[in-house]
This record gives sequence, C-alpha cells and structure tokens, in this order.
Amino acid sequence: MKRQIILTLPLLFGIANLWAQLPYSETEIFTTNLPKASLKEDPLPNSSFLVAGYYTLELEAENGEANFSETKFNPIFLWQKGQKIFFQSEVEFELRGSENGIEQEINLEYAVMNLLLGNNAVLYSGKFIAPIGTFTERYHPDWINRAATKPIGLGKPVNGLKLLQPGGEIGIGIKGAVFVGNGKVNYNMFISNGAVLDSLNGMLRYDNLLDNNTNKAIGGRIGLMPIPGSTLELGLSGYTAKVGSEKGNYEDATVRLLALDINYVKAISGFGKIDIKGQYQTLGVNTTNYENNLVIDNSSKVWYAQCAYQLPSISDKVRWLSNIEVVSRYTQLDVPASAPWGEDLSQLTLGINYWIRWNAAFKVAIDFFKSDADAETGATGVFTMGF
Amino acid sequence: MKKIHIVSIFISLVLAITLLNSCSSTRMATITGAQLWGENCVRCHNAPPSTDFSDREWEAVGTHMRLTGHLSKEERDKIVEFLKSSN
Ligand code: HEC
Repeated sequence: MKRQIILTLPLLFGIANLWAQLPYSETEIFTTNLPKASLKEDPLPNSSFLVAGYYTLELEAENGEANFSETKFNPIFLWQKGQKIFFQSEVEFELRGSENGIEQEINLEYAVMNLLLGNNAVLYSGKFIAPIGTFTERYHPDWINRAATKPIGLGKPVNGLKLLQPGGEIGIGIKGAVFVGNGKVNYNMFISNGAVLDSLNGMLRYDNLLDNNTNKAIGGRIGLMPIPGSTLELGLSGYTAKVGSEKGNYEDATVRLLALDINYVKAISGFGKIDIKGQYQTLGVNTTNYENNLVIDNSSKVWYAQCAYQLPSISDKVRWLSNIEVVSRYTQLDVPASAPWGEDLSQLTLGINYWIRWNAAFKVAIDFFKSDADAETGATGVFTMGF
Repeated sequence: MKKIHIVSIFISLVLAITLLNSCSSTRMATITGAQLWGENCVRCHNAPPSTDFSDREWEAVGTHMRLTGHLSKEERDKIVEFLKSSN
C-alpha cells in the first residue's frame, strides 16, 4: 500500500506540473491563436436552433352540450448542427375533458436524430411518426388539417379506436427523394418494434417501447410525383409485423397494412385555391380466435376523400374574402362486426375556416356520423395557431 | 432468419441509395428557389412568407421541411437561399 502511494505521488505531481506548464488557458487559446477578424464570423454557419410548434383550443357541441373540450400546446425543438446532423422533437401537452373528468397527457410525439447523407438520403433513428399514408404523418397538426375534426380511424376516436394504423414507431429508417427523368420519387423505409396484439379483443397497440417478440416491423412509403412543376403526389405504403408473443397461441399472428394516398393543391389566380387529399387503407390480422371464445375476422378498412376550396382575393376592398376556405370530407370506417370495438361508421364533414395567418385559423365543422343502428351529429370549433 | 433478411434488405437499400446519392435532374439545373418554393411549400400547408423567420431560423426550418416534405438537399438549399434573400 505504502509503495503504491509512493509511486503514485510523483505521477500526480508530474501531471499537475504539466498542467501548470500548458502555454495558454482555454480562453487564451481561443482569443490569441485566432486571427481577430474570424472571431466575428459565424463559427457554424449552418447551425441553428429553433423552437416552433402550435397551440389549439377546441370547442365541441354534441348531444345538447357545448364544451371547450380540449386544449393543447405542442412545442417542436429543432437543432441543426452543421451540414450533417439534424435533431427534431415534438412534445404534446394536452388537456381533454372526458366522461371520467379531466385527462391530462404529456406525450413525446417524436424525437428523431437525422444523419443527412448527401443529396438524396437521410438516415434517422428514434421515435418517429410512421409514414403510413399521409394524414397521420403530414396533415394531423391542427393548423395543417383543413377541417376542424380528423377522420375517424385516422385520429378521431370512436368506440375506443383512435388510429387504424401505427402513429409513433420506435426504430430506425432511411428516407429521401430521387429524380427519375423529370419526375420525382420519394421514399421512406423503416424498421421498428411494431404493433402488439391485444389477445382479449383483437385490437392492435402501437407506440411500443417493449415489443412482445424479437420480430421487428417493417414499413414504408413510396411517393410518386410524376408531373414536374405540379403538386400531384400519389403514395403507396405498407407495413407488416408479427404481433403476437413469441410463444403461445398467437405466435404466428401477423398484421398486414396497405395504404394508397393522393394529394393535389392548385391555386389559380382569380379563382382561388383547391386542395384535394385522400387516403385508402386496409389492415388485416391473420388470427380469428381470441380469448374467451371471441371469434373475429380481423380485417378493417378506412378511407377518406377531402376537398377544400379557398376563395380568391377579388378586390383590395374585400381582401378578407380570400381568408375564407370551405371544406368537405367523407370518411368511411369498416371494422370487424364481431369485435368489441366494431361498428362500421361513416362521417361526412362540412366545414368553414377563416385564416388569420398562413398558420393560424378559426375552423368550424359539422360532422354527420352514420352507422347501421343510428345517426349522430356533432359540431366542432377550433382556434389554432402555429409558431 | 427472417430478421437477417430484413436487415440485409435494409443494408442494400442504404447502399443503393448512397450510390444514387449524387442523383439530380436536368430540371434542377435551371429551376429557381422561388419556383421550388411555389411548388413545394403549399403541398401540405399554406406557404409561409419569407419574413416570418430570420436567416438562421430558415436553416433549421429548411432542413425540417427537407425531411418532412422529402426534398433533396439541392432543393432545400435553393429554397432556403430564396427565403433568406427575400426576408
Ligand atoms: C409533406 C408535407 C409538407 C411540405 C411539402 C412542407 N411542409 Fe412545412 N410543415 C409540415 C408539417 C407536418 C409541419 C409541422 C411540423 C411537425 O409536425 O413536425 C410543418 C411545419 C412548417 C413550419 C413551422 C416551423 C417548423 O419547422 O415546424 C414552417 C415554417 C414550414 N413548415 C415551412 C415550409 C416550407 C418553407 C416548405 C417548402 C419547402 C414546407 N414547409 C413544405 C409539412 C410540410
């Protein structure tokens, strides 16, 4: 022990001495070794940090009641570090009224580290919004969604079912765009933990940090933009994963999802702007027998078609006219009849928006829901602002 | 076994795309940042005015939208330059 101390002491002394003999302190190195002028230059010209995000207040009127039913605030953090690294994250703080009182939620919507690889590819990892169709990935933020409500099966909850597809997935992926002739193809492929099957009711749970098997989900989307200079985009997406636990009755349970989407936006001077969006998707799990003798033919389908029209600015006196947009959307959700969460439903949405800025609007919409058994109407008002 | 397949598909994709990485179109050579802004920035939401963000902020927004809007780096750079020159 003594010998060790004796040997260590001179070593420590040596290190301390070296330290003391370093020619400059850190600040000196930065100030004296560099030419003065360069101190004024931007050391990382491509680096940037920005907090963006959005805010929403929702007023819902249904069954003779009107409530400020939901308010939320979604900050988005963006870090660009030089030419290669980009980190993005969104957190949702949400307050919602429900039959059980007030529900408060804080969710990590996404947290993605991107490695920018040259012109046409980006490698990413973390929690990301799955590129299945386009509504969930691109149009769900309230200041982007043209209507005050979301389509059933794609964000608007009905019978305990909110999304008939993955929303947030945890894993890695690659995306980008390549040019083919004069057209453009964009791609986005990922591997993630994947969905988990609830053996009690045949429902799928997404957003999983703990997968129930070693199999990873694989999914992605290819978007075609065939006409140069046009906004027209046609998309095809797919997703498959084993969803049952490794051992047991559900080890072969597999989900398969296919989606098609379309987007077209065109502004014509003197006429206004038309915005057409749509998505069709089918989802099936190849297992029919669930616990407690429940038998479900577990395939579902959802599609929506939406058209929005923003008025033109006819004269300077009535410029505000061009802030008005009308929207109509039809959504059809088909779910297995025998499932506890099953009820085929259609939703016709008619709405009107007043845009006060490019990313802020008052939106109102009436939803006409119809199932085999009954019909319901709901009115929703939204004030939303991006920043 | 299947996992190995998925991983190898993924790796070949990464390789193929890295090879395609220099891929650009003849159209890109002549198109301006303003045109690209008009074609791309209205597809999902109303196009923001250039005055809404500072030069430095456009750097971050530009990359964010390169990722969300699936733009090539070349398209992103041209759009960001256009927005920075007109804000
Ligand atoms: C494919 C759809 C899509 C396209 C194309 C698109 N955006 Fe966005 N944009 C979004 C979404 C979605 C958000 C919301 C941010 C989020 O949820 O991550 C957004 C947010 C923004 C914001 C708010 C700040 C931020 O970074 O979040 C700005 C500014 C913006 N976009 C500008 C642009 C510009 C400029 C273009 C053209 C290059 C563009 N967008 C093209 C989908 C798109």
